[in-house]
Amino acid sequence: MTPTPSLPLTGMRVLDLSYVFAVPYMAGLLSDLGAEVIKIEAPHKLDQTRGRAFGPYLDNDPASDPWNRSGIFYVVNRGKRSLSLDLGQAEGQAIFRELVLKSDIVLENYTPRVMRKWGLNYDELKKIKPSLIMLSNTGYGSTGPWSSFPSQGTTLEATMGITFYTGYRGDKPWKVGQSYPDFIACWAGLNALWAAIAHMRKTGQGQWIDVGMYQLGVAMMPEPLIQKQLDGTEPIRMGNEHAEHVPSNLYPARGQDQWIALTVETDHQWRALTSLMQRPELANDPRYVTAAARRSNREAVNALVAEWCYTHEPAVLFKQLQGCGIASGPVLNSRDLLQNEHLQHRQFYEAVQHPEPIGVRPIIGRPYKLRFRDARIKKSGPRFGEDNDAILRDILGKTPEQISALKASNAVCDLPTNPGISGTMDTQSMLKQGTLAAVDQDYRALSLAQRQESK
Amino acid sequence: MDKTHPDGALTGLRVLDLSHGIAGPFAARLLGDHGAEVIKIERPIKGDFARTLPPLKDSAPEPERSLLFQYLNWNKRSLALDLRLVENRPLLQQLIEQSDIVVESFRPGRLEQWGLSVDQMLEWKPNLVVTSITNFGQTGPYAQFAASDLTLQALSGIMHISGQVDREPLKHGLSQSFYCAGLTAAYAAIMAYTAAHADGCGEHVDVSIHECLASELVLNESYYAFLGAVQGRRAVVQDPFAGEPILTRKGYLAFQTGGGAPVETLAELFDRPEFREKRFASPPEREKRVPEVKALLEECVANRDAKEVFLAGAQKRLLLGVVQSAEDLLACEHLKERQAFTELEHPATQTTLRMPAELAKLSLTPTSVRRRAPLLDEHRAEILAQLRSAI
Repeated sequence: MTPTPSLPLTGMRVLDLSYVFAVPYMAGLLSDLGAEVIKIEAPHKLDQTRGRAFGPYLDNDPASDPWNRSGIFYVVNRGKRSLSLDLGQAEGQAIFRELVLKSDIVLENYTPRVMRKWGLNYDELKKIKPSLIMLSNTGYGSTGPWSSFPSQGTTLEATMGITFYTGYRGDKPWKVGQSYPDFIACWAGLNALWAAIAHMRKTGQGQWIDVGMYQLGVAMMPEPLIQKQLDGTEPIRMGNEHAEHVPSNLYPARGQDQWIALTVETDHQWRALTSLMQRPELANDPRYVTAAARRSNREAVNALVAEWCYTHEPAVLFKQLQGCGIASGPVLNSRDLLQNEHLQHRQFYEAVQHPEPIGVRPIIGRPYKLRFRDARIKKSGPRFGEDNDAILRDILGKTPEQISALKASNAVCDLPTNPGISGTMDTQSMLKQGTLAAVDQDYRALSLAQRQESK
Repeated sequence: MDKTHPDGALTGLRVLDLSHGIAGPFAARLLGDHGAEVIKIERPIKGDFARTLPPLKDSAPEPERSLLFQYLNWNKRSLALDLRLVENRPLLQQLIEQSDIVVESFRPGRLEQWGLSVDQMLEWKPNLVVTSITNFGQTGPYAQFAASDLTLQALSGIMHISGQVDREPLKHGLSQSFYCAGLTAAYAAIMAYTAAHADGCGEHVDVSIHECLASELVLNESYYAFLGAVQGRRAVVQDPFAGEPILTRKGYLAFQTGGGAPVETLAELFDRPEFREKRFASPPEREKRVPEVKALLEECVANRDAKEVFLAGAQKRLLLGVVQSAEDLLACEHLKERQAFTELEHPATQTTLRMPAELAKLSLTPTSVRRRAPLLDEHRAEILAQLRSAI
């Protein structure tokens, strides 16, 4: 019989207790691979991505159920079911233990003391299910002098070192933004998790994974760690430039806020660039002919390239440079990305049907393609508590009376009990400050056109 | 093999690493860290081009000068082999037949030219997982395009939202794109192996470095997809609680709200009662007077050291970060206690370096560094003898 390729997590159940980006995204990506992922949400503490902190709400309108309208929540939590369960209550803990018996993986990112306080740490849970894999993600890991420190991506990026090596030339260290540590934690966590899954498939043994974001972040910057130990120096901040390759920089192109990045790595590419620039006299100019010469004339090289770029549109420069084998690319914004020909061709953004009034929206897929297996976003993220009854009834066999009792004691809630402040984003002042570049009224049509084209 | 290490999760797995540079070799090394046996195939004479990547030990012989290469290639054995030569195909076939995972990073189509297409490899070994790591993936109009860390950050959108609104977009420092892709490729390889091992069907995993970076922009994407808003760069005067580094007497601090402690805790930390007043304690009030809040914070830390404030604040459950350099990281008491660094000796460079080795702690199957990075072609005799005995 010919074997049929199947998704690796079909038939597996994941309990996701986590908040914000790193671990929720891990769990969302697991659902693309066939897992049934249940997001367990505290009735009194919404995931920050359901709220105003990260937003944005659909059409900047919180309406009567803002927690079901946040875009970022639906990107990160795609494919999941939602059970709203109060783990601080004994009834909630009992339900959770019953679910653990029927699940394979638990993911969480509480500070280390919380799960212990509830009696839901790994040592307790593995008594219920010896093959259970549990992943705990914290800023600093479960041990060590900083383990109880609070953390989020925004401040961790400074502590882990990336901030020190980012910034304009001669300027102070710069925040890299966008919660960078969360994403490397997501991928590093998935590494450990998949290794644990492989081990469990082989031996039947579960285990606990202790992820500390600070520590794994440090592993992303070996260059300065080596340099410091080798000769006692540190790399300097140099904006978008490269220590070795000149030119390698970002240049203004024709148009408002238009930019082209390019990197010349060989002398051959430099000669090709001078020909594109229609400056053949530069090809054999001793000031620029070798990599070492260009390094010692950095400013002059940058000025020559900048002068050329400024008069051309980035799309034209991009194609011309790539035509000569020179690494290059314009700076794309979120609108450009959703309409980008390459990402459309690869169907990087998937059209996912959401509950009304959201409708079909493009959602970030996965950064890899599988040739034989149908990895995909299988459904939209859940509304708050959407699957309360179905999970309690179908997985745990609870009767309607038992379910009502759980709701009466607020162990399970159909609505958040403490949704916090909701509000709109002040798009006008953000546009004025420049932190928003534009707000498109016709964005739905634009992404709709994109979807039909990619079919 | 050193038996002092407990088995890793992938002990017994065989990985053939045909890749070069940072992303592919880092991915293959991560598999090795979990216990897989990794054979690295390098072009003869020069080897992997990462052997020329700085930092370099200038006094060491070529091609053994790169210390970055050593970081990316421990837990591997090296065999130099010209993939282009037809006479090497029987040996490659044998190596592939004995592998569970192949990692490669050639430009799309290159392996096919050499008679080593994924189809050919799957014919040799039907449940093989081939993991390809390229700038833009195997398909699409950019598949053959060249890229650098800088251009990938531009094309992925990261730069559009990094830096200051009245200045040019700013890339993340160092070579983050390639490490991001290495992490993704490693987990995707184990994932596909798990699937192939279960159902007997091989797989080709096509990882795009560009898409790894675009995957980070979950906020940026949803701003547009749910609202039509195009995110820009950071404001000229930033909310001081949004992580912008603030200068102290020694070093920089990053502040954020929303930890376990309210903003009023700052009153205690700095002995400044103003933080209990509504104009500083209430978020909407604070938003109205950003420059004033920023000036107050700057004043509070001007005569203190960043690390000391970080420790004192974090103990009070405030969300704080301290901007650390390599020097600080190497001296960090927490990383030391976590045993995050492993000491590595290498005879070619005569160096002993402390490098971050453990990304996460697995309770039953910890990762390990069992062997230093190989010299070019160091294990030829050993690998060939092993293949002969397997026949």
